[in-house]
Amino acid sequence: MGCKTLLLTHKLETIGEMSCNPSFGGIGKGHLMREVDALDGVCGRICDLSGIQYKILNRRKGPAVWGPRAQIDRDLYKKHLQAELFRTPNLEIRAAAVEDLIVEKKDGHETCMGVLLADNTRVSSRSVVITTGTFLRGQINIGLETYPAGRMGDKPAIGLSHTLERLQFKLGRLKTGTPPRLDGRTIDYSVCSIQEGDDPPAPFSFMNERVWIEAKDQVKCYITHTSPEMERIILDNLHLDRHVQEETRGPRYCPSIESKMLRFGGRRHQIWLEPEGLNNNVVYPNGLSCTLPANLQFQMLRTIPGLEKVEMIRPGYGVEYDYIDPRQIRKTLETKPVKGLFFAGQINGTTGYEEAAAQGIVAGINAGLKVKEQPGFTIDRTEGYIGVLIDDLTRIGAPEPYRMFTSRAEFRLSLRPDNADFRLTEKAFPTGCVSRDRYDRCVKTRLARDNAMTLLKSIENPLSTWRKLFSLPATKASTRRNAFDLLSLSWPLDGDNGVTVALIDSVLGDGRLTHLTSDLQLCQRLKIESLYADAIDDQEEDAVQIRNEEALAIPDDIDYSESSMSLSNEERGKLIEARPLTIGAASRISGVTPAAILTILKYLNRRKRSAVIYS
Amino acid sequence: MYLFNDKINMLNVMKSNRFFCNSSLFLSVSCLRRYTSTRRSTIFALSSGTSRSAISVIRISGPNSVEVIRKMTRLNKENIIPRKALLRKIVDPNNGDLLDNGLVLWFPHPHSFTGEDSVELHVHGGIAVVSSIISALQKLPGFRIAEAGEFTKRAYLAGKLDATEVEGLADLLRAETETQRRQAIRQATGELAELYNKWRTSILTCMAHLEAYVDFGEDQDIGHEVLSSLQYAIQSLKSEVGSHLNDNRRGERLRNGVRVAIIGEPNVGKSSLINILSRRNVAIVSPYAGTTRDIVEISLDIGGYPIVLCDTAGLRHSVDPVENEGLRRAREAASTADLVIIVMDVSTGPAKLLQLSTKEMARLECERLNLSFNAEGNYLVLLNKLDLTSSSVSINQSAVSALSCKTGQGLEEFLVDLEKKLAELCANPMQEAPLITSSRQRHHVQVAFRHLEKFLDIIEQQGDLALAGEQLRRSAKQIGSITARGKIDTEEMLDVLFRSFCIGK
Repeated sequence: MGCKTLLLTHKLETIGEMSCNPSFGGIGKGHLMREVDALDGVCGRICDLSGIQYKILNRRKGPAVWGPRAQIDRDLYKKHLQAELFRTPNLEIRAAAVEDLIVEKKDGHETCMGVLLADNTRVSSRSVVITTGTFLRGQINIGLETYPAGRMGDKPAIGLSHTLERLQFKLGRLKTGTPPRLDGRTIDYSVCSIQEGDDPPAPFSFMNERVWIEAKDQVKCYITHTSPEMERIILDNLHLDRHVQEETRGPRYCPSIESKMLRFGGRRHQIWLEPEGLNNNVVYPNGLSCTLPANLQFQMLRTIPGLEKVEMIRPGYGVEYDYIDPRQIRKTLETKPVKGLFFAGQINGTTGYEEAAAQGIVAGINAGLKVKEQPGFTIDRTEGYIGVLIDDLTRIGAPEPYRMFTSRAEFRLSLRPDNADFRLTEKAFPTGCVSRDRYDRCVKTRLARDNAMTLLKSIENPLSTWRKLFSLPATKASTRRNAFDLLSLSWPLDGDNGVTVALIDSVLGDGRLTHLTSDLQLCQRLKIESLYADAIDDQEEDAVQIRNEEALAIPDDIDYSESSMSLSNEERGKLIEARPLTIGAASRISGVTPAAILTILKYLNRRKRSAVIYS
Repeated sequence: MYLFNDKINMLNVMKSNRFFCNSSLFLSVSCLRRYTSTRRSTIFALSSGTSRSAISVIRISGPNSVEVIRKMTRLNKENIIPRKALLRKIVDPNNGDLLDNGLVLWFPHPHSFTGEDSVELHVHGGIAVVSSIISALQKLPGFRIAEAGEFTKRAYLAGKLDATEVEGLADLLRAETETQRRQAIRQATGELAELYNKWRTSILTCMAHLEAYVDFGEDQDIGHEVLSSLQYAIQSLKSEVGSHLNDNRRGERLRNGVRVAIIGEPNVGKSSLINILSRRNVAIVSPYAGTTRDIVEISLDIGGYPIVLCDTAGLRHSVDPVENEGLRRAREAASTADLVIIVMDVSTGPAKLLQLSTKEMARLECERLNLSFNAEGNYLVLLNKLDLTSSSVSINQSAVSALSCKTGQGLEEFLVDLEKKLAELCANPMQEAPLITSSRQRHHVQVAFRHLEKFLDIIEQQGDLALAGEQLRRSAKQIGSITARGKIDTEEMLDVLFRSFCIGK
């Protein structure tokens, strides 16, 4: 975007450090990665260079919920990411701790003018993005021990926390954890079940046709499970487990093995043994996040089938850290109380690399636009998982660490991994965040898709004729279907794939579609679009309604207690707490009636203002 | 497998012939419709309120509004003058049945309240007429019942309202939603609400299980068996919803009219009764026995309840084949009717009969007329020709009335009895809410039912689970919009999900 940018971090060598699990993507998370890539974020491309096992989850459940995922080599990821960042034009990278923000009143608004470093250096800037991860007043817990740290071996950020408090931000505490690491050479894999990668491995990025690794060179993952003995060790020693004892407002899902045992005792829980890299023996036991004292963790590990002789490289631990109530930020991720200040990632109450990346790109784009004095860039719920994520955060906050699931997206059928480029690349291009290359490629792909679709739709026959062509038993159905409609059918012709462009081409026998069949990616896109076309049409009205209502912004300084608003106490309370930014967001708050929405509309009308996000 | 191999061979042949195809032909056409279209449904509602009134106004707004003009008033857009009231026959769009005579007003966009194409129908007030028109509108493609405040919202989005107008409407709507809220709370204690809430909970649980399988199936040990238990649960829910929809005979009556058969000996005044009820001569009345040979049917609105009155041939032994056929039909009408009115001549009938209970009276008269008597059936006994008897007739049975069709004496009392009986026949045993709510409910339940069906289809064909999930979501949305509990949001679903499954990797 051409803005002069400074990246400040405690240590240069930890840039690109994957602090927790050695994998990227998954169901819902993979969707986010495809969208980040469509906006030209880096993580998808770096994963295509660093993965050691690629797998699309949910293969049999439908393309809308496919979850692209990969095991990543930590060292490769760090190496490639650093290389990418250090050669990024206009980006200066410096190791330093930020102690304070420079905030001044400008035109009556608190405005962030830059940051103050630990050595008292003032760095001035038109916009500042804070991505503190688990470092904001971070504290590590193992057993009953606790000490300040952002990550094992890294100092926390304390000063910034005080600054945010001083600026009237509402802060909260969240917790996360990481499992112990194992020495792979001491694991007996013969008792575990094996999980292999896909052949061919699919890339994350729309810019790549393939990933760096050959299918056959991919590593294997293994699955084992918990034991009753282990459950006993955990439950007997909860008094030694400070992190779990304090899990007062823990998430509804089970982040740690302790919470699994507490809430779903007497069951077998799966544990995935995931290699952390090609050139080391470290194994990450996914599902075993744990904060017991180290010696008990070791005892516990050895009760697990296959781990009877395991050596523990280092114990798991819990981290707790400050986050700000994300209802204090806008959909551009700029904070409401302080202009020019943006938050992204765990500081907003999310968990996971992908959720962080999704916010990082939006905050980055908007920080740049702010400098260029251009209107903000937002994504709504009908356009992407990123929009769902940000709308959820800014509207309902993060009472528990927020993780993406596909079931959070009501327009899941249209927000698919396969079409993230069509949804976002062209939309974002005018902001300058998308490279020309990517844009051209997207436009070209879309054109090819449109032409192919028009062609397919022009080939129309009665269903009975099609069945005859496919040598299927005749039916009386006389409805006409075009070749595009046909793609959605699961006629049992080609294994699991149903009707494909290649099959239609072969049964037509006149070569009209032959030129399409060599572009397998295009053929797959067409099939997926056909599969969901009708259902998406049915959803269109809901989508239009959301878009219309999102277009009606509510100004920050709306006074819900004003007597002319005559809202009920309940409605007023809910609106004041949520401070919705649009009519759409207001109407999604439970307990706010249509009448209240009209009252707000009336208020807006009186002020004769429409676009106020950047007033 | 032969088939499969043939296809591959053909495919190879086609590939070698690739130079035949000309892709440049299609390069110019772009297809962005899906991303740019702004489809909206056409909405309608009874806008004059649900209480009984002389005239009811039904408002329709949206892109397909003109269909009402075309299909229900049989006019073209071209020959109707905008914003001019026109008296037309209003008919059912599917079968052309006459629903009412009423005024039609056409407001082409943008000169309407909502800024969209709009139509207003001013029809006769009363449950029967409004209900028939509402259900006719539902048959038009792309039409649905409006949500609360939706007309106003559309008007606002079209820039049609200024601040004061919105203010007034907001107050109005607040009152309206307040009534709805109170109504919803009242229903929340009823059996029907309990049923809907039970359905809502089943769908919610099923959604949580399906979503757990979709979002965490690969993460956690949530296996394929989830799907078969889901299939079972939805199957039984579907049949429950289905029988609720079918079993609702009372709802049917309200929609199609209560069938009332008038039977009795020849010349007791059955046709006179019909005429006095309908205030016009539909049946031929004459003093000669056997005048009515066929069944005369007439639709009436009595006290707001729709009825279909069937006048029948007088029941007696006859040798005339035509009259015998009429008698057969009369017996059939009596046996299929919702309500049988037995007419007797009070001046000739045995006085002892009056001492009996209504049921007993009806049974004896049926026996005499050679009709089958149904102990569970609904009977009214009407003693006609009160003017011909000098002695006073004392009646102590609630379902027995005495009147004179000739003088009109006793008619008011009879109408009260009849209305009471009709109310009994049309009322929902589960305290169903007033008309508009209930036709809205029926609509939602029907749509929910269809989505459950589609869900099962997809699961049976081992189809796409995202599509299956969408069907559940839509079904839940329909049920949710009838209950006081409202819609199911993601958070509520996740609550159930995380309670039922151990999630967290």
